Amino acid sequence: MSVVNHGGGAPAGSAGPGGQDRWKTPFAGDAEAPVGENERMITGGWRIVRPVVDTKACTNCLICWIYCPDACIVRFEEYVDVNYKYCKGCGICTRVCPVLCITDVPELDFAD
Amino acid sequence: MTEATLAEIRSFRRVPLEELYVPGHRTCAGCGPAMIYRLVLKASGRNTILVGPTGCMYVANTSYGCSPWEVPWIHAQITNGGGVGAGIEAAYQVLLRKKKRTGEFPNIIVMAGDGGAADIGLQSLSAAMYRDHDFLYICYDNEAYANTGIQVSPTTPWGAWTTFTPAGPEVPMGHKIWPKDLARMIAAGHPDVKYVATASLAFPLDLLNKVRRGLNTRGAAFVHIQAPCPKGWVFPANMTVDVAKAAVETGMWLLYEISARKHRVTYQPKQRKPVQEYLSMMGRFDHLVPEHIARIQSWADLRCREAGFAPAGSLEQLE
Amino acid sequence: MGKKALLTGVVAVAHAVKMADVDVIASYPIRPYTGVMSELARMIADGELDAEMIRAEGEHSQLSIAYGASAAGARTFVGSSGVGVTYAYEVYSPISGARLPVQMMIADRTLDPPGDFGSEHTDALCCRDQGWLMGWAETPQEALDMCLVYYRAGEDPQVSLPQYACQDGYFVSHITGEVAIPDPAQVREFLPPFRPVRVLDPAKPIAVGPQIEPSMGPPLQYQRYLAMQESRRVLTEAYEEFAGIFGRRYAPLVEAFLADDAEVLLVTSGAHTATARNVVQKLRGLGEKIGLLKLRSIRPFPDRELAAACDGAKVVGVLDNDAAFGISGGGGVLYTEVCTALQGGGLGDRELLGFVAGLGGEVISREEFYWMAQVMLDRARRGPVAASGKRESGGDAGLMARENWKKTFWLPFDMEAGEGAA
Ligand SMILES: Cc1ncc(C[n+]2csc(CCOP(=O)(O)OP(=O)(O)O)c2C)c(N)n1
Ligand code: SF4
Ligand code: SF4
Ligand code: SF4
Ligand SMILES: [Mg+2]
Repeated sequence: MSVVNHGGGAPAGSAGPGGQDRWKTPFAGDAEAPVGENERMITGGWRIVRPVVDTKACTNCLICWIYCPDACIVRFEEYVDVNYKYCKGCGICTRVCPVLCITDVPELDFAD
Repeated sequence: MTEATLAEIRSFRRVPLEELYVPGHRTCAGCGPAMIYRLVLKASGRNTILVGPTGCMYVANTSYGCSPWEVPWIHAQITNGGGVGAGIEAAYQVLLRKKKRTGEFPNIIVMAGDGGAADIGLQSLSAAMYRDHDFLYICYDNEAYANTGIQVSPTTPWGAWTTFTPAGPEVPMGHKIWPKDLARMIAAGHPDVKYVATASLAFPLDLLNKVRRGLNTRGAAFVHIQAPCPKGWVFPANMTVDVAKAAVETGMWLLYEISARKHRVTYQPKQRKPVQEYLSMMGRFDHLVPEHIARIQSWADLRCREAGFAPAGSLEQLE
Repeated sequence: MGKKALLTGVVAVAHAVKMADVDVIASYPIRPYTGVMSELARMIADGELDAEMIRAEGEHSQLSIAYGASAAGARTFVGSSGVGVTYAYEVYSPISGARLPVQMMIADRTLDPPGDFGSEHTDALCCRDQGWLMGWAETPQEALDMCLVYYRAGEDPQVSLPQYACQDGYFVSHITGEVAIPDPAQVREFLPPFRPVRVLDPAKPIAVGPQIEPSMGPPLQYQRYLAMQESRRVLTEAYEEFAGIFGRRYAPLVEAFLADDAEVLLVTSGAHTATARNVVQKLRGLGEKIGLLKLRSIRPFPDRELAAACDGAKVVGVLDNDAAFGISGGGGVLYTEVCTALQGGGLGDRELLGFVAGLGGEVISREEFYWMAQVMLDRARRGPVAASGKRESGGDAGLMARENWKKTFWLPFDMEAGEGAA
């Protein structure tokens, strides 16, 4: 295993027992910027209720989209839907939808 | 700030689609500061460098060595958001001038909590504003030290419960100091600051445009955004927007901007509602009795008057 | 070619900063370091230097500005003295942790109380373990040269660490000395432009300083440890190349004076070394086998070099110009460091003594150095203690007595009380 000590050249130094990956730590702990999503913090499992969009009733007004703190409202041509991989089930979208086309359904009602 | 001016956004459809604050962060469900973070980045775009003083928006966003931002971000101490922002600004100024680097001058944005802005980091903020560095300092104000478990800060409202200001027989109102008025303090005390505004997440277009105006300003700008925190204010996660809206509709949070030293009210409720409607939405005010609420009402009335709200919008008029 | 001038320590450093083409400077006034910033401000006003100079509202902000500026790719310079150094403490670890090669000049000043402008190394030594290189210049010339060497070593990607370039307040900062100001072309050859390991740039986004998970703790701290270890080699190479280009040769970590066959060695750092050297030379003339070791570098601490230089010495005395109340051994910071480097607190072949002197900016007089030397020479004449802990002559009773001999001395009190004799 090696601890990357510097920005250039080969990793310097090594330490600790074994060859665990956990010693592979980026320079100064810097984190890569994500692309599109941060898969190291998947939050969909937090949900107690699942916002379900009646896509036919949706007017695509984008109010829920603007307010979702987690950028989990996905926009389509005519309607919006939810990114369940990350949606925390806060219920804000349901609350702000002016045509009441989102319903908070308990997660336990779903098989998946 | 950037050479290219950021245009006003007039409808939700014109709000940039691009997500620079991506899904995947450990902020609480319904977190007001997180909602604000996303909107701020929609306003600023990719040519942005973020400074994140210690607080929820550092700890909950970067947990476990990761980043939810597609733009560069650097941690600052809770004490020094202003100084770190100033340093980045100075570096870009001089490196571009000396041709040690090429490219555009970036939008530099400090995203500080109320503790980091109004309390332990106030000196750093004030000095950076005084020196007129070309950057935007945003205080997302959740009215408490949230990350350490909800302790009183200088923007915590009178009468609010926090873990440091519990209500009890000897202290029935809980917190008993009136909050600092940070935006007015910045505006009044820093003559070179060209742009100061307050904003609310319940008014997203207004918020986006104030951030853009702040960024378009050449020199220091400050935007103070009320940021309801479901955990710290004790309300259900789905109520964040409602609570923010009620704060504005009751005059507990005022929306204005001060540009080139001109004060402009940007929104005022047509019929201001009693503060009771706002206070009763949150567990942090549960212990208040009518005389406490009356005191808060007078405080709100006074501030509305001072902020230049037309009498038509004031509660006194309604009564 | 360069030119010669009579400069104070602070002005000499300002010249170095100018030649290093520093980009961002953050200032705050406190004596005695202030003069470096006045001189830099003048250089900027007169068009001699193009840099952003920010008049910060305190030392904490000086360092915060440097942190941001360095992360954005600027070569940065700050400085302070005394309570200013400690006021900025919070920001030192974030700077080294983010591996930002900021340079901070420290002109020492006693911490309050006593209300005092005098020099004392306590201010800088408080910060010794924050992941910064640290060393003392003895003269204005050394101060100028150290500024350049530290930028070069600190910015080396194998090191990537900030540096405290220290000089004694007044004794160096305000006393003029002849300084060879290098030729700018030579400086450019020695010190390439700052090429940061990574930079805050929207074109290459990264997050600097995120929260971690606990398993990242050990390797992250270990990175800084390795970088500090690596700096020994990089500093040594930098001083070597410095000698080649500028013709001034420095022992990179420990400078020995008449040390080769010395039975008694005094370890010093900073400006008081000049007086010490003078006394050592006089005593040599009188036939005493005494020598001197000056620590140029405190971080990294030159354990191996020091141990090698002390090989064969019977008594090693350490001068501490710092107050470290309650510290192990009862001397100062450097005494405990030297004890660790030489592995033992006084038993064995070698006796280790500590002398705390010159506190509050008091001059350490020649008489005091003579007295220190006499104490050391006296101990040397009493003969070594065997490695087992038993004296070569005398039984356990002798050993007990010897163990109880005073090892550390505060001057001038112990001198006046006649404490030198065991
Ligand atoms: C110098 C210092 N003191 C105390 C802390 C502990 N601390 C960490 S986060 C925090 C709360 C920050 O409050 P605020 O700035 O309002 O941000 P929030 O957490 O509410 O988002 C505090 C006090 C710290 N990190 N640094
Ligand atoms: S429930 Fe909350 S997180 Fe999920 S989509 Fe709606 S607003 Fe976003
Ligand atoms: S708020 Fe309702 S109607 Fe509007 S886009 Fe969302 S789901 Fe559709
Ligand atoms: S405590 Fe409040 S501010 Fe912090 S993450 Fe949770 S909701 Fe957001
Ligand atoms: Mg807060």
